[in-house]
Amino acid sequence: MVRVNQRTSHLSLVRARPVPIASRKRDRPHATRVHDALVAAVSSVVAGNDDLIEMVALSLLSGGHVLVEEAPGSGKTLIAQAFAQALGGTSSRIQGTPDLLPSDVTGQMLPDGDDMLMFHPGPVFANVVLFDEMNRCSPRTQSALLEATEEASVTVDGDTHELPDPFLLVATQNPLTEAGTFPLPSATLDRFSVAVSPPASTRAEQIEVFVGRRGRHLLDTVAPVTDPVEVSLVNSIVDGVDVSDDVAGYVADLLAHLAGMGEVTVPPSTRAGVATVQLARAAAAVAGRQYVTVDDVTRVAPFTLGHRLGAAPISSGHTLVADALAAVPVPRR
Amino acid sequence: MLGVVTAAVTLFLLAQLTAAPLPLLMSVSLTALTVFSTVVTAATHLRVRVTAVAVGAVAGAPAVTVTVNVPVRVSLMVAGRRSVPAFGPGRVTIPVDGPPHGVFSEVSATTTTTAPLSFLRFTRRMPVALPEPLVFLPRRGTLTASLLPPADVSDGGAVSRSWETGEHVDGVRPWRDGDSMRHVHWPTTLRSGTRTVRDRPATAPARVVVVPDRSADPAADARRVTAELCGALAVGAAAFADDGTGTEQVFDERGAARWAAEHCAPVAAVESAERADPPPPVWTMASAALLCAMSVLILRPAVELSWPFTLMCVAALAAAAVLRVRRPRWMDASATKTSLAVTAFLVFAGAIVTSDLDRGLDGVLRGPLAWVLVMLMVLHAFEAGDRRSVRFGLVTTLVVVGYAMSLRTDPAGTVQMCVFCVAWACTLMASRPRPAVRRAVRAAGVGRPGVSLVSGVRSRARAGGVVVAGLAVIVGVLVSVPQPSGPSQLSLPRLTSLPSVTAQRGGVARPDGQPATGSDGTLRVAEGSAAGAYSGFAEQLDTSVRGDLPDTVLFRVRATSPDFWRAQTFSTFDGRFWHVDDAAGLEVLSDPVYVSGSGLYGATAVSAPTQRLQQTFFIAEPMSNLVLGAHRPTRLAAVGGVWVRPDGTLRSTSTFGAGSVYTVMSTRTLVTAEMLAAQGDVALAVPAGDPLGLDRYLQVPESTSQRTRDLADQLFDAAPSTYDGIRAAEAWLRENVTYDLHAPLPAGGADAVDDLLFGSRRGFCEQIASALAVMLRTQGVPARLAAGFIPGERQALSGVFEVRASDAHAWVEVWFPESGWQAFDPTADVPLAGEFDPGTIGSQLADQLSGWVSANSSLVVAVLGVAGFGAAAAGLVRRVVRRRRRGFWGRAQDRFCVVFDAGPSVSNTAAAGSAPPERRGAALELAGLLDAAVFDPSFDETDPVLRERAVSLLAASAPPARAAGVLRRLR
Repeated sequence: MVRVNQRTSHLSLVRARPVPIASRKRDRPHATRVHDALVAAVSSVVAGNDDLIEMVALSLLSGGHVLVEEAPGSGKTLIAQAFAQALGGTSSRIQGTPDLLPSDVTGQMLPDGDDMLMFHPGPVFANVVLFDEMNRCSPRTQSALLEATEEASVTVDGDTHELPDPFLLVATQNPLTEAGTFPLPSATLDRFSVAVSPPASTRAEQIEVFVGRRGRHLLDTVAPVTDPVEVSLVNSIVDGVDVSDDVAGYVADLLAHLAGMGEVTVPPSTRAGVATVQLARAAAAVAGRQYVTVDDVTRVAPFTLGHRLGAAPISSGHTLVADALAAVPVPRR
Repeated sequence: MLGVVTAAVTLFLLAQLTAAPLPLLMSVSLTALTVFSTVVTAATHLRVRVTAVAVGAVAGAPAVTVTVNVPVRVSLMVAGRRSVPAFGPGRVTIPVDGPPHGVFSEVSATTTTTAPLSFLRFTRRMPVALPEPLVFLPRRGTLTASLLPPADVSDGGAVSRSWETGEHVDGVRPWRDGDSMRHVHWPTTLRSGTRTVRDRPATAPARVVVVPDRSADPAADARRVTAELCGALAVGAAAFADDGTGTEQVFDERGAARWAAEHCAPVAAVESAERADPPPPVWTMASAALLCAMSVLILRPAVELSWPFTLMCVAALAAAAVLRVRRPRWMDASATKTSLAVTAFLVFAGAIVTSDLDRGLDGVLRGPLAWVLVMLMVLHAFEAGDRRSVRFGLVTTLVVVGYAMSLRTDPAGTVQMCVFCVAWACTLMASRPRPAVRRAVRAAGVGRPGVSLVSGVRSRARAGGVVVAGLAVIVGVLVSVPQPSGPSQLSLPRLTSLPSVTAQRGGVARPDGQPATGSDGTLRVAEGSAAGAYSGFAEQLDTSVRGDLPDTVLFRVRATSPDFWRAQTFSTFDGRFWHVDDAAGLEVLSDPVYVSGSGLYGATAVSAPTQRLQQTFFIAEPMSNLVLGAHRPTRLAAVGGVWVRPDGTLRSTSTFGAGSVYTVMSTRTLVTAEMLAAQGDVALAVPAGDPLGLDRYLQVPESTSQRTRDLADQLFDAAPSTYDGIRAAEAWLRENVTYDLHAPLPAGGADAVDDLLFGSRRGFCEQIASALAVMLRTQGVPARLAAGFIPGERQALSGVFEVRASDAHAWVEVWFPESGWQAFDPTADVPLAGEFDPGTIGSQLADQLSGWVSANSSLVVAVLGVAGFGAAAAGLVRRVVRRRRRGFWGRAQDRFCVVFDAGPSVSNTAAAGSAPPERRGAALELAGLLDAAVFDPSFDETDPVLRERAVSLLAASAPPARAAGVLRRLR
């Protein structure tokens, strides 16, 4: 039920430490290089799923979290593991079941030797955490992750334990039509900066997997292309990307237009805009720019806003966002 | 907002129909009603969208969830099968009873209005894209082909029950090297202790290719192909399907069914009709402006209120509000019932108030029927949520406007018609459907760089093009449409208003009903009456009395061609007075009046071709009881009785008050100058014995002087025919006699004709016409004096003649043996019926316009010059200011948008992505530069290197033909 990948466990090493930010001239290729190396490494293992890999990479570099709505067996676990391995960090996997308890996720105090209670970290203590079928477990367990996603820390018995840095949560949910699912409340959905609903794999992609050019057996060939420290550095670079008032106004217009659409039952929150801007920052940094353009926003907006509109399935939310993008005028000179 | 267009047009009709205050109040109320409904139905843009499809229903009815935003009834149709309807608004789930099989990416949604006020039920069908294809598989029960029977295995159990179809085996065998672990038969292995694998039956082919039979029934063939593919899968063979172009492997039952559905039967073609599109905002603005203008037009004269109408409209308003807010329970079941109730209420109330039993058929046609149509259109406007409804409303209103214009006679109608036509044409052209841009975006992908998120916003140039096209359409229609000829003969309009019954039977009455001629034979002019001032409208005409006639508009005539509107004729002349016949004629009370034919009243036997001319007289000022009309009236539609006089003229039994309407049908002889000249000497054709009663038109007053006779002999003896003689006499009169309204009066007892011809040589129309008549009579040609009005001024669009009091006139009628009485006038041109070309509205307009322009050419040139100069100067100043304000990078952005056709919601990069490949690189770099100019805080706008880079990129990315112009406008 709960399985921690101990293969590359070095929890003590990944504590964030202050990293001097290099000069901007050297920063730009830095983000691009890290991103490209990560995506190339993962894509060498995983067939297709380009949008998902791209959004996971951008989330990793901007400190966000990813929600995937997809049927089982399409390579989500492989993506998470490949990212962890390319990152040179740890990964763990949590399988959501109705009887999963919060302590199974966060860790708990257990007797250690004679009467001493020691904190035993749960599977959430990893750089890349895959929470599979999150909407199968109870809302109580779902909300156990709220603090982890928001503040990158876990509080057990009053003691706050910092999570490793970088910390990326990749959660999957089954389509809501299936039996035995607890729909994720919009507050929980809002914590995920990105939601992706990849299309079914194509015939060519399946062939790639079947003949062995891609797939799980290649996971061992993925060598670390970066390290958590460098990813933390890129995080700080992304935070420093400039967002002009024009672009921020465009995002605000987008949110207002979405809120006015008849099909949108839940108007997007300010946090939705924050997530959009933050991911657009990552996209800009990856593109080698020090400022965000409208194209960065249109690139990420369907994935950052689609799941916050009360539309099910998430892919229909993506369509709504596309409609809004086609209607809102872009800022220009 | 779409309703506003129709409502505005409809309200315009209200102003068109008539200028009476009651309809005006009605239109005011309808304005309020329309504004109310517009506010209520602010979002009646119909939008149907499929939000979810229940996938996985292998057989049976999958459910499709549809979202609609207005209260409509929705049903879905797939391959001709319509589902059970569901009611909006909101999200409704509809089970789709689909075809036997097939794959559909679109369904056809049929919407029907169920809103309370729509008594027109509009059904509309539109294709709706599905988020994912809907697959209908053949019924499971039909998949019974070639499944092998279950076989026993060595352990004695029947293993097939626990296995799914497709893993069906009939035996096991020991493990051999190379076997896959997936084929291990675990029950036997555990039982026997040795590894055992499932064995495929030796007879099963390794590869099965199924080919569809094109000649078979598609549905049956699809079932066969599916069954065979599934059978092959069931025995473990590799199943392939071959459609002639290539083979495709299927892996499971669902894939087999999908292949069969796609390849065996043609997928039902879904019509690609228009989608529900919101109207462009520019037309919303235009319609709002039109509504405002119309409201002003309507409200301005609406000063008189009428409480029944107020009550009715308030009731209608309240009913509409109540029905819209609180819908009764039974309404869903039968919207028709509500519609009928509301309609009946409105129509009944409107009919009660508007219809007037005295008016007869014409009153009904003018009043309630038109109102019913107008109200119908207004009510329909409440529900006009899509373009098709607007187009329907537009076409209908054009019909009503045409009907209204056939009744309108005032000049304001022309201007309103022009405004209406332009707005109508532009709105109609703007309501064309737009291509489904959104679908293209969806197909291209979401959020990918380079995909152009084109928005459907129209450019200003395109809107201008629509206006120009609308104007062109209107001009074309105007040029080709002939002048309106008035209502059809079925509805000869007649109306009486403020009549006064004549005091003297058969006599001429003043507008107040009193006899126009006193007992002493002198004219009794009614004080303050414009129409009564003319001396010709009495029993006798004094040629020595000149009228002082005002310019008041007396009446308007709708007729296709001009003619002299004759009131009466005078037969006997005593040197000073003309007298009408003493015989009053016959009193006819039928409606309409058929004036009996030629023989009875003589001198009207006609062998030349004739033509009917219908004239409708709209009386604007109180007039006498003389019925006007072109010679020779044959039919009259008027209220009340009529005296038909021996000379063919008509007198009503009551006077015509202001607002009266009557229609005269005249049979005119299509004479031409050649035809008249060909009839030779008329005097020789007058039959002996006076069978036609022409002798009284040959009477010459005793006071006629010899020099008058000599002059006549001299003029007529030289002419080859009577017609030429008349022309010669007219020419002589024009040359020697001066038309002068202030001519000196002849001395008492002197012969008026002699005095005119040889004395004063100054006179007015009565005297000049008398002179011609007397000269003709001396030659033995029957002639008489006619009094009436000249045709008057014609309005271009409506074709209505406007006749003023000063247009009163007297002229001569001469008898011709073949063509009857023919008018001649020495002082004015007489329109000949056979030589008149009615022309079209456009030609009339062009004539008037060119006439005005040539009359005011200097003013036109000056105004145009000043306007052009001012526009050029303003444009120059604006351009300079704009260039300064925009700066270099702003101008570069403008040029970029023009070159790459970047709409307001398309980013620079996306627009550049649409450039042709050889220029795309430069375009993308330029887009990046422009983005940096806006979004990069560290961007140095004054950097000359960056500017030069931008210029060179623009030159490299623009099409070569346009590059020079683009760069010129950039600098």
